[in-house]
Amino acid sequence: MQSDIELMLRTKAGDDGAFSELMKRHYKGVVNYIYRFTNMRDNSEDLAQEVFLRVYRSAKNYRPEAKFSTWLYKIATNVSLTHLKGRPKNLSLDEIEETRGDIEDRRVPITDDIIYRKEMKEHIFKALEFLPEREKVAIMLCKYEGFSYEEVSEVLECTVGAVKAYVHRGRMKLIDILEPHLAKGGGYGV
Amino acid sequence: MECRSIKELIVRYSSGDLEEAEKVLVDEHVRDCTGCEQYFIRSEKLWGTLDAWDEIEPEGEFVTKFWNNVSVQENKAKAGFFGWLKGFKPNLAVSGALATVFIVGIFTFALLGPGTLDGVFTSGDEKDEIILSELDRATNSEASDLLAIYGPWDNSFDANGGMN
Ligand SMILES: [Zn+2]
Repeated sequence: MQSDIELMLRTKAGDDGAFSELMKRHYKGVVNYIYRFTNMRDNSEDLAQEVFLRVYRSAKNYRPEAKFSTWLYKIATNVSLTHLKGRPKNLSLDEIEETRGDIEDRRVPITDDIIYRKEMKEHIFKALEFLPEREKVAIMLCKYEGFSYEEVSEVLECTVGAVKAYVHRGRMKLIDILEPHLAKGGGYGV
Repeated sequence: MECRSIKELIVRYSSGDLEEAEKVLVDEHVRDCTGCEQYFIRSEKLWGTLDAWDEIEPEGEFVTKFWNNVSVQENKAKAGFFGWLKGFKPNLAVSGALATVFIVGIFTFALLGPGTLDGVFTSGDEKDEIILSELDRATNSEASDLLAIYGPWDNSFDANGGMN
C-alpha cells in the first residue's frame, strides 16, 4: 500500500485517482473531526469537502515536509475555527438542538443508552467549547483522532512540551466541568 | 505534597505521562486523601466518558461529490469571459441602443466634420478659395511693408503673385 505522501506526490503530478484514494482513507475522520469541533452535523460534510478542495488546490505546492495527516488536520482545524467564529456564540442546548438537525437519532428506537449518549454529547461539546482553542484542538486530536503529542505539535506548530501542557490543563478543566457525569459508578468509565 | 500538586500529577497519571517514582507518590497520597481519591476516579473516567460522543457515518458518496464540486468550479473558471458576456444578456436592448448612438455619431461627424470640404468641392467653394487667396496675398504684402523697418524683406511673394 502506498503512503499518504506518495499518493499526494502522485496527485501533484496530475493523478486524480491518487487523490481519490487519499480521500477514501481520510474523509470519515475529517468529517467526524469537524462534526465534533462544530457540533453541526449538517455542515460537517460540506466543510470536509472544503478541506479536501483546499488540499487538492494546493497540491501543486506540496512538499513532503510533515506527515500528510497533520497537514490535513491543520486545514480541518482552520476551516472549523473559521466556521465557528462566523456563528453566534453561547447557544443554549435547545438552540444547538434546533440548528443541528440531527436526523440520525430519530430513525432508531430510543433507548436509555441513546438518551444518555445524546445528552452526554451536548455536555461534552459545551465543555470542549469552554476550553481555550489550543487546549480544545490538542484534546480532540489526541482523544478522537489518536494523534501523538508529536503529531499535535505539528498541527499547532509548537513544542511537544507545550502540547502536553495543553492536554493536561484541558483535562483538568474537563474534569471540573463534567464532574457530575464522572461520579463513581455512573455513566461510562474506562 | 499539597492536594493541588497531586491533582496535576493525577491528570498526568491518567494521560500516561508519569514516571514510576511519581506514580508511587500519587498512589500513597490517594490512599490517605478522600478528595484526591475521588479526583483520581474522575480523571480515570474522563477519557472513556468522551467516547459517549459517537462517530457519525457520512451520508452520500463523498468522493464522487468532491469531483463533481471540482468540475463545477473548473467549468465556472472556464466560462470566465463568456460567463461575463452572458451576464449582459438581459441588457441587450440597452447595449444595442448605445451601439446605435455610437455608430450614428461617427457617421454624422464624417458627413458634417471639417473633412467635408475636401470631399465635395463646389463652384461656390471655388469662389471662396479665390477670396481667401487674395486676402492672404494682401495680408502678406501689408506684413512685408511693416516688417521692412527691420531690414530687407523678401517681396518676391507679391511680385510673382504666389510662392516661388
Ligand atoms: Zn489530597
